[in-house]
Amino acid sequence: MISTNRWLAGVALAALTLFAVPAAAQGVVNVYCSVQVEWCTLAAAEFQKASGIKVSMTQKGSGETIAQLKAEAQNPKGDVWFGGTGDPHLQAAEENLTEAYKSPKLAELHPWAVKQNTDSGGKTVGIYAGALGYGYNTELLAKKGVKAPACWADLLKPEFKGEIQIANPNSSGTAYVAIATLVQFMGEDKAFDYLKKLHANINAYARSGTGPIKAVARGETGVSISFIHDGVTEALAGFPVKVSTPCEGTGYEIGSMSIVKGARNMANAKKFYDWALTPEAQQLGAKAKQFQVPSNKTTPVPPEAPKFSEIKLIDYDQAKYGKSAERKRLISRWDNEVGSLPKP
Amino acid sequence: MSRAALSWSIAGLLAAVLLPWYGLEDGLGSGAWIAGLWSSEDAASGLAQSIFFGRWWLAPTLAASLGCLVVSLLPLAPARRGTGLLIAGGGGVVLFAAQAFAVGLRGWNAGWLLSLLGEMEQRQVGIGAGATIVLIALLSLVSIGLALRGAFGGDAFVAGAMTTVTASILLFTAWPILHILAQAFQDQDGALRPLLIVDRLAESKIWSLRCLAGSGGCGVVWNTLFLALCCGVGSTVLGLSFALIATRTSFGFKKILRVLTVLPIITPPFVIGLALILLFGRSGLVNQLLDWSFGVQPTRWIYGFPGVLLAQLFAFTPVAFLVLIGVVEGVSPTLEEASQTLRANRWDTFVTISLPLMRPGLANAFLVGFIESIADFGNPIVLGGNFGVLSTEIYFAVVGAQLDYGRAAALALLLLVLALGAFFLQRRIVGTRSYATISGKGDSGLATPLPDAARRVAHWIALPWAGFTLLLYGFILMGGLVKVWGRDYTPTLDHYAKAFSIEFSEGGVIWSGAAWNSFWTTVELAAIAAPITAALGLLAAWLMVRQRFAGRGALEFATMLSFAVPGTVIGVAYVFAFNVPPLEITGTALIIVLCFVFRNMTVGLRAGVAAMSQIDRSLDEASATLRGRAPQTLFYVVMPLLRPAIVGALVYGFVRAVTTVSAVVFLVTAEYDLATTYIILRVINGDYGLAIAYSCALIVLMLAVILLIQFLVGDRRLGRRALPVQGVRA
Amino acid sequence: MSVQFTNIVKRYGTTTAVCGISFKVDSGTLVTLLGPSGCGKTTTLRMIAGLELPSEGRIEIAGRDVTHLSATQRDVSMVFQSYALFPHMSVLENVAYGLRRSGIAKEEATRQALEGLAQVGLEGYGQRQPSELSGGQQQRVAVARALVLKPSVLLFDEPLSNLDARLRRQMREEIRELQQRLRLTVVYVTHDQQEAMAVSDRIIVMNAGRIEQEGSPRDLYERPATPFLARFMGESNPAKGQVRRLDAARVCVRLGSTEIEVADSSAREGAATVAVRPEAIKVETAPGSANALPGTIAKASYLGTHMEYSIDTAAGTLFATCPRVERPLTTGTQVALVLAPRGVIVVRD
Repeated sequence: MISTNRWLAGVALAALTLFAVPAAAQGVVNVYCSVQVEWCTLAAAEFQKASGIKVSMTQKGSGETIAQLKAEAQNPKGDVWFGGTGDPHLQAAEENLTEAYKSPKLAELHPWAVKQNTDSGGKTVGIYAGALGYGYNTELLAKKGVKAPACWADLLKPEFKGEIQIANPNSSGTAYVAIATLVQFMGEDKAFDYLKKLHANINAYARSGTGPIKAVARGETGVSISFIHDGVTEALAGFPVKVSTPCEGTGYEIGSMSIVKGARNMANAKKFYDWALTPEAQQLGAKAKQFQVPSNKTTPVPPEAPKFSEIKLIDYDQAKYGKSAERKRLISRWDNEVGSLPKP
Repeated sequence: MSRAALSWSIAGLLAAVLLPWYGLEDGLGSGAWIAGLWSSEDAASGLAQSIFFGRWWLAPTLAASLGCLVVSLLPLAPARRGTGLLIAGGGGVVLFAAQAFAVGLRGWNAGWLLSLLGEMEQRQVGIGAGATIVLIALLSLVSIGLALRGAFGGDAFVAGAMTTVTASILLFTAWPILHILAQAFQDQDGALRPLLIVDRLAESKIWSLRCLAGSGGCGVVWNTLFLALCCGVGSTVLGLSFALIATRTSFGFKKILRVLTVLPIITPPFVIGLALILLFGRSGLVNQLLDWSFGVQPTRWIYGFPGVLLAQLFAFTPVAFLVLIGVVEGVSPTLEEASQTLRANRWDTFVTISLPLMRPGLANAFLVGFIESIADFGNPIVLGGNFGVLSTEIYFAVVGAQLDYGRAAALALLLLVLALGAFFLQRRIVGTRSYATISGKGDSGLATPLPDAARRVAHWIALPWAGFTLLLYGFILMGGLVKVWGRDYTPTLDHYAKAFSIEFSEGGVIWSGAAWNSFWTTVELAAIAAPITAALGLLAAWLMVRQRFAGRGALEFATMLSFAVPGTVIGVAYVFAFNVPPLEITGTALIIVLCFVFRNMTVGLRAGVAAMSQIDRSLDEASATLRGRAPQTLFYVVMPLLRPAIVGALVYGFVRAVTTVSAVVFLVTAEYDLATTYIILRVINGDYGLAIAYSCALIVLMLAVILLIQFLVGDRRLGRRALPVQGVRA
Repeated sequence: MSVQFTNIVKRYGTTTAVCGISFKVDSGTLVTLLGPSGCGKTTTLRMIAGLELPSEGRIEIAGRDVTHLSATQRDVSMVFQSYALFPHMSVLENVAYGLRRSGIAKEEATRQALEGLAQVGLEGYGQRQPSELSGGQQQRVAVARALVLKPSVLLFDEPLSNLDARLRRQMREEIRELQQRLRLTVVYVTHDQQEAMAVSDRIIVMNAGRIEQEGSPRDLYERPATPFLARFMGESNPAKGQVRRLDAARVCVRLGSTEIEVADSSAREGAATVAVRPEAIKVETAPGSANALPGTIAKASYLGTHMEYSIDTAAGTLFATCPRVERPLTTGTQVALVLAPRGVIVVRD
């Protein structure tokens, strides 16, 4: 019996030493960060330097972050959600997981960033944008003697048979942006006709949005449909990757930022939010080798970054295609008409 | 036992008076709470809370604790004292749970309580030191009460162990998982609509059989099932081959073989998948070589079923090996000798005696391989291509564009049904036969060498696999030492320097490498979790094999729950269950440790059950009649005979804690970042060099830990004669 | 240090292994629980040890109620059928195990363990592993291990079943000698009635969870109360006979053509089952005396010390032993059988 006592007491003691509720004291802000990890750490360090507020930064993909926000909704542990593609931010706004906030910095932003804010009822704001395009492996294409794709129409050519990868829209926001883009400039039925034809050239519908461009980098596939800034990152890592944007026009994502509803450190969260919209904060992306287009008009843009002015952009309706109902409808149509086709 | 009841009663009451009832922002370390025990609303003790701060609902629990003290002090007959403790302690536990779940962060937790009792002014946060000790004391008193009434052979240790195991499994496995699975029957707003599950599961994506007709892919359920069957059988066959070679042959490189079989288990996730792609992918070494030498057009065969199966076999064969080696060692040589004297040659003996005796082990190994496969997420996500399985489907239901917990829960239920099926199948196969082969009778038989045919088969299966593993790991090792893996093979140490640089200044050592923070956190948490995992798993195994009690099957199944449910679901379940009072532990190290423990204890449990069913029950009984109390029997008799299983459970507990990723993604914080989540971010970033360098460092760390565990726990001495080196083939 | 069972019942689920037995084992005696396998004798022994707790009833050891106490808390020790020697400990460690668990310091425990080993004649074997000993030696280690604790009651569960015949005889003599020398209270389980008769002060015969009969070896052998007992306690020939009461103490039993006067105070008149002990049949060459039972030798075996015959008679085939080996009878010989009254038992039906 003595040993039972001792044993249980040991367990109790161990439990006690581990008991410590997370900090919510003054001078802290808990940030969920959905951009690349270098960017996250850089932003945390710089904000801490600029404001004296300690940043507790947790890096997670945007899908994981919204799942976490939803799970924590009753008792939120995060304060700000920084970065990640716009759709989940819009969805979080729709599900009332985030807080409306009107930053004094809104005036300095590009119109597309402000529109994101008004579309969501003030609950999210654009911090960067990235255009959709193609990434391709120069060595593989050269070996096959195929010219790099420049237009959506090129992708249907027979020489690309089994060479193209795109993500599965069920799991990837990137793929959904691609479908929404096609629907917007072709019309819905034509867009699905196009996707069915494209199916013959696709070798896999990857699970994650960045999967296809990594496959291009490793020479596992010739071409991917990806955000072009991701292609630039691979190229800088030393892989034979180049990017191009479609001649017919293309869509884009708006990387966003939101304040968590019921944040424990609301004042600090707002300070971080304002800071993240300044040019000083926004140029950290380029420092971390991420080449999205920053949302503050005065942020200097590095030469490697794809320029929005050189890309033919469509007038992407974030508000309409960011709604969960519309997304569910388009994805299930894709599932029924494209995803279920036999393997080419 | 009466003294124990008295001390627990006093401990509970002291905790109710001298420790803060609720959790504190900055823990107990600072000691600042002592001043506020009676005056501060945050730090007040349970008694002060109920008297001064209007939390009257705590009073009944405290009264029950007092009741226990009274029962312990009264001069009662043992059985009556037991009844008293059972009533007072059990009542206290029920009252504790009732108030904890009824009153939450915003007053009443349930609408009907609100309408019944009116608006509640007070609220409560998560429980702290005081409440925890009161609860533990009450549970201990219940078990002492049970023992006094003659339950569990009248042994308080067994009753206490039983209560500990049951309560912790209920709290940390059953509750969170059932909580989230219930969402399969709720709509987005949480309203109960049982028929929704039919909608959620009636999809062609799940059940389609088109692949049989050759037009398109099959449903994820069939994919999962087929993959798991192949993985279960494959890993069992491979594991058995390795176990036989390691124990029954004079193969010269057994040590290397053992290390090799352990390597994959200590490899962080994604690394094997990446290495396989770089070897067998379209631009991988093998395909390039074939293209260059024979002009074979490179294909993408690795993506899909073959690749996933290959990676899973790599990953789970070691688990099968660990389960099987103890079993193979445990087969009594005397029985094999008996068989040989009965005109059976070595082959007959092997097939008719040795293999059937290993049946519980084989069934266990298959079960583990099967369930690991259906719960595996890392390999299908990297290598699956268009080949979807349930775990990836669930992941994307949670984090993908759908964000549909209901669907995720419905799919998780489906996955559980598969696990359940495997579980019952295993029970049918093993049945109720006795396989006790370590008996109390000295057994000096000589382990029969494998028959030639079996040995050749084992060699033919295991050795190429071992060679293949070596090749793969050589390739991985190289990955951390070259500039860009798969592209630029210039040697460099940059990746290691970036992750693990150390600077020396006047103030001492500065751990300036990027990986140190997550590295030390991982080591610390895994080192805390591993012994608890092993102890709890083996304790549960001991209870299940040696004690007869109602609900044994239910308990066994509950332990399977956390093992069979994919990590992502566990992670979300833990956040749902433990982000709000009464147990508000998200963001702490505790929740990560608990997640490790309850997710990984199942393997220790299964290994323990397999090993223990080979130990004759009379050994336990002999110890009991020789004044060995249950804990002493456990320590002096059972544990020394279970050494292989203990090593297995400890190693597995540590290694899985270090390599788990999907379950902890939702639990890590800036303060408690883990190695695997750090590595995954690097992989997502395309920074393979650093990821691999870090992985290699982890592999070295885990190897060192395994050797340490092996050294500390030691081997089992059975006094059997050693197998002489086979000079000539007999 | 007596053991007292009162109305003990043991159920496993729906099956009842022991149904309401009561008995007493006196201090310093050796009592054997005897019965065929599955009769509940081992369950009863395990209930004395505390390895099983009874479903109903009351167990006392040395006057103390131990019904709900676990094995550890009772002052008993047990020698197992399989010996249950701990394979990972040396012989000395095995013997010292119980002493160490009782809280005796290591040196003292070692001293007593060595003494225990000496008591069973195993000096110098302390450092061996159990697997290095012969069966008989392992048996002695198990006995020494139980003995050194000086328990109130020592239990043996079929201790000799793994030994060869000669060793069995030697070991049972040693156990009996040890019990008498140390005045131990012993409960002994076996299914071998010869073994039981050789070692016991009293025997409790169990069948199907009940006590069939209880008494001294002689009582049981000479006055078995039921056909089961007559069959189980030694060899006996079941035969159908007619009983006629002569007076209060004697009956006349008619078997075929012969009549025997048997001391019996309880048998009822009429048809009855009669057990005839093989050694009570005297085989004479025909025609023999007037009251003899005629028969024909069907089978004859030579066993060194005696002959065994199967004889066909009007009362059925009878099995008889005959110490006269120098002039054996051959198959087919006509014989006359004379039955000694002491070996003819009227049993209840």
